[in-house]
Amino acid sequence: MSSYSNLINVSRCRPLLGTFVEIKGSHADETRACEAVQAAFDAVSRVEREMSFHAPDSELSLLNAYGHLAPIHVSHNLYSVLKFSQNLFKVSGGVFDVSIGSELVDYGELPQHLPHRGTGTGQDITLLEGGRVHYHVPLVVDLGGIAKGFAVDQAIEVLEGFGLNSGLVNAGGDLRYFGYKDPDIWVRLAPHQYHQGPLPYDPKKKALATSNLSQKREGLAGCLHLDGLSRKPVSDTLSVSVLSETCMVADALTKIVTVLQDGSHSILKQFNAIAFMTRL
Amino acid sequence: MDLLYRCYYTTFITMFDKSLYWLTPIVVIASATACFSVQYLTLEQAQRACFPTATQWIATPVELTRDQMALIEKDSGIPVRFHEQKVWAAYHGSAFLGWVILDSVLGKHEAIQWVLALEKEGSIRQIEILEYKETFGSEIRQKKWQSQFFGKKHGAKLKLNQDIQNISGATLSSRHVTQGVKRLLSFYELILKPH
Repeated sequence: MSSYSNLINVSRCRPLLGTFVEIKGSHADETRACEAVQAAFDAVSRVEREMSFHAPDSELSLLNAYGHLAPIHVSHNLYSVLKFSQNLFKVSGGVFDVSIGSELVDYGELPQHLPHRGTGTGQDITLLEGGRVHYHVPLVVDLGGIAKGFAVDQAIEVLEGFGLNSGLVNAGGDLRYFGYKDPDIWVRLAPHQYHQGPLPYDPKKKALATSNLSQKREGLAGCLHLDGLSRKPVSDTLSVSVLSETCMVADALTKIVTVLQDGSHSILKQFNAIAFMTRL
Repeated sequence: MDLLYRCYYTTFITMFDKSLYWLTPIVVIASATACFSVQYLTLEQAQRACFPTATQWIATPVELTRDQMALIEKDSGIPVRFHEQKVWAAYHGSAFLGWVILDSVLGKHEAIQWVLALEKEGSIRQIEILEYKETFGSEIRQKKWQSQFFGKKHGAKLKLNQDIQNISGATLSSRHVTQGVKRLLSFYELILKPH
């Protein structure tokens, strides 16, 4: 895939964010490529420590436990992701709502480690100056619909910062790349079923995320999507992929498009994204 | 077929200048063999990645008795499938650096070969996936298929980045590897750790 034969390709895969994170980088100097890939994994690990719902001691878990009692100071990363989530909550009319964690716990998708249930919605989150966050009522926030994409963006920035010729980060299907003219990307529709072929191509849109609920039919946990408005699961007969400039946008928009289906054009345009869907 | 689809698709995009597309599913269904596999590292490469300064690797494979397997299962809560656990001790000169343990996990659709690197006092240093294969559930239970996958010889040359596809799609759970980590930490505490 690389255009220069003297480049060394480094490709690694580690279990992170509850899935397999694959990071590829190429550079003439192998040591440089390895250091970059390691630093990119470190960036993903940092996001996991900040935003994991499963870890009771993550920054997000502490915010969920105490955010309604007093404003909590959070990291720049968590603040940025919550800010973007709030924006999406508004423009999607509440369809994208990170406070859906409470219902995901009820459905057995997420572990129960809080003494309270959420009693509000995304509009009960206030982002204060100085990197502080306050919940007006007890909330159970889950960033599962956005944090993976954010982690991919962070890792890509690290690879670019190391001056690699090309790089690709794939966190369980949410991916972004640079330096490849036309990487060979398949879309997994279901186990053993792939869409292999040209995807809508735009040189500026190098992030792709796919939301695909087919695994839910096999009884696997962790792949249920809820509509933020109805707080109910959405149809599992659709595979939605979104191409965008950043993976955080692509990741989040797949969730919105899965719910809205045909009515999603304005949001996609607003975020300069393209969606493509397949009925399963 | 691919070319045909490419033409069709170009027309499709030209005709509808909008941001939402419906794709006619062009589905690649696997034959009877594994339909997707990625090889990231050979064992030697993984060892070097875990302990770059190591100058010597001493193979110290452990043959587990039934009792030991039962102990590990009880301690970790995870079933132990194989009698043999391949282990290497990493040294820089005469200084002991830590362990690399080769392991494999089987899921409903996937088979993964991976290593756990432990610091000399037993804490986790690194986890690297060597090989990932997606396959059919019925196939994965066959001994013959397993041995073909896991019997890879030490030092076998793999060509990296050949035929490796980038997959976007349903998130694959890494819980089997997470369970494997728990099992190997019990293996370390009960068996490997110098007492």
